[in-house]
Amino acid sequence: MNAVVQAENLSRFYGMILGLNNVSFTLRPGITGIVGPNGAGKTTLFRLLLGQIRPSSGRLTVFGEEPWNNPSVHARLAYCPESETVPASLRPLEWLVGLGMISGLSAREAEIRARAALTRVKLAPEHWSKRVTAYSKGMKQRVKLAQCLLHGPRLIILDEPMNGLDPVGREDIAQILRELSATGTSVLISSHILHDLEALCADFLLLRWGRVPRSLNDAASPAARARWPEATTFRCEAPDRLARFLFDRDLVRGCDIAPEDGILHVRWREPARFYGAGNFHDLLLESGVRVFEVQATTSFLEKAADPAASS
Amino acid sequence: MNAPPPLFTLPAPVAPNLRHAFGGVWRLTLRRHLAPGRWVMLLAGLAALGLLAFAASHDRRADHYAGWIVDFYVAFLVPAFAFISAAGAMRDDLKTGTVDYVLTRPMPRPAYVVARFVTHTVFQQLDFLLALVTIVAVGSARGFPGLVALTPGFLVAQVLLITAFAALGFLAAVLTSRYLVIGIVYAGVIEAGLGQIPTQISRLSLTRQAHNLFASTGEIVSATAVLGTGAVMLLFTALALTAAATLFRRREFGGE
Repeated sequence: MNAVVQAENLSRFYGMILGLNNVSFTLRPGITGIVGPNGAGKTTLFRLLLGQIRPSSGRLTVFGEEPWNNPSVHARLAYCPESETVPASLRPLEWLVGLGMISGLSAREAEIRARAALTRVKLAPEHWSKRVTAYSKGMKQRVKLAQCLLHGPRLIILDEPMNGLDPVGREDIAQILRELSATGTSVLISSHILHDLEALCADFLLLRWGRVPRSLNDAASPAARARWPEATTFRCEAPDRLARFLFDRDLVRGCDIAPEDGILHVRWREPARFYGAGNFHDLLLESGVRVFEVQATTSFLEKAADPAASS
Repeated sequence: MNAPPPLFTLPAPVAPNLRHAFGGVWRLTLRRHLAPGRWVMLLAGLAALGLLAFAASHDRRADHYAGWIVDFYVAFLVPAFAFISAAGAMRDDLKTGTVDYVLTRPMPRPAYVVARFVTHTVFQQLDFLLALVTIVAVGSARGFPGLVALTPGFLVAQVLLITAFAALGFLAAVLTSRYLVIGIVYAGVIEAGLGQIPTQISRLSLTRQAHNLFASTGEIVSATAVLGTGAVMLLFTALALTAAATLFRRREFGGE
């Protein structure tokens, strides 16, 4: 499969400050999540991909071409920034039509596509007559995504697109991204909402201190993701009874109980003994405790992004 | 069984098109200029200018008023505002709002600078046209009937000066966020310094060139002078804009 993005020994420094340090990676078609704490180098990587800054050393190609000052690459890219800056005094259609025309569309075609994009991101037409600056954070996120859909890009880069969205809004965005991916558009997305990323992405790129640490990226590999969670949180009617039931079967090596919230947090001896046989539903039924929610306490991505979280 | 809903598919990819891109820049600039807040600012500015003109015409002498228009309005106010406004517009374009949404699109950066310059300058010309109308209206109200006949000369000078100083503003803004410092140094060294030396070197001063277009009565001295001054100012505009576009092309956008 052709690489969408290829980086070889890519570095970017801002004077003495490190942005990216000698990273090499390949992004394949599909949805790729980019994860890392603040200052990990995500924004630097995005700006390099967008051709807004040049590498200090190494090589970066997008669709086989270097992105710096390259309209041919820009024609196939779209960017949804994290910043909430939107132009003052513009309504969404006016803004999108202007941007669509700058991308090369005629005014008429830009308007048709702008209407389709706003409809697709589920921004209700009654809001189209308001100025974008007057929008809520969630509505701005939808317009920001809509401006990415105008010119048929092959790679969409999204920086924290889920910020400010409620769960329904996040699922709407996720659904659009899945559909785009299914129809051949690649997506590179950063988000601090790791559970959303896990549910959405086929691949991950983990950054830390301007590097792509191999151990972290191995921990987020598809093979690692196939393993069972080592800790699980239950929200249930009687957490102490459920804990006793699981201890009696020698399944857990430790637990924490918050009875007032009905929360039981367990650390498994061997996770496969609970999850693996495919009978954990039966086990929970057998316990006689009403269970409302079962959730892996520490996601693989959290573990990979922050190994301390799993200890 | 219900068929699954059709997938949302992106529209076909678009090839870059400079003409459409220019139209897009034009539309976005137009919308900014039509913003209600901007109209309030413009009307307030025109009112202030009207008051200044009223004060300048208190002695009811037409030649004094024409001299004030040339010395203050044409040779100072127009260049200063054209510079500041253009530099401010360009600086705005270096902020994330434009960098992230516009400069990530397939429009060559030099073309963007030219498109932005043209659109901005057109609206500046319209704003200053209103300013000139205000000044002439005040003069006419004061009973200076010959003023209307002088207006085309003032208009030519102002069109040339706005164009040249807007280009200078674009260049200064691409060079530094402290474009006002560049403006003040330029004004001090070239306009107020070299421009006042009574030799050929004073021709480096654009405001001096504009000033020399007019006789003491406010009339244009000759058509040849207009052509010569126009050529110099357009050459200056082309050079400043080329430098701005070149620097803009090489500029990195690390976020501002």
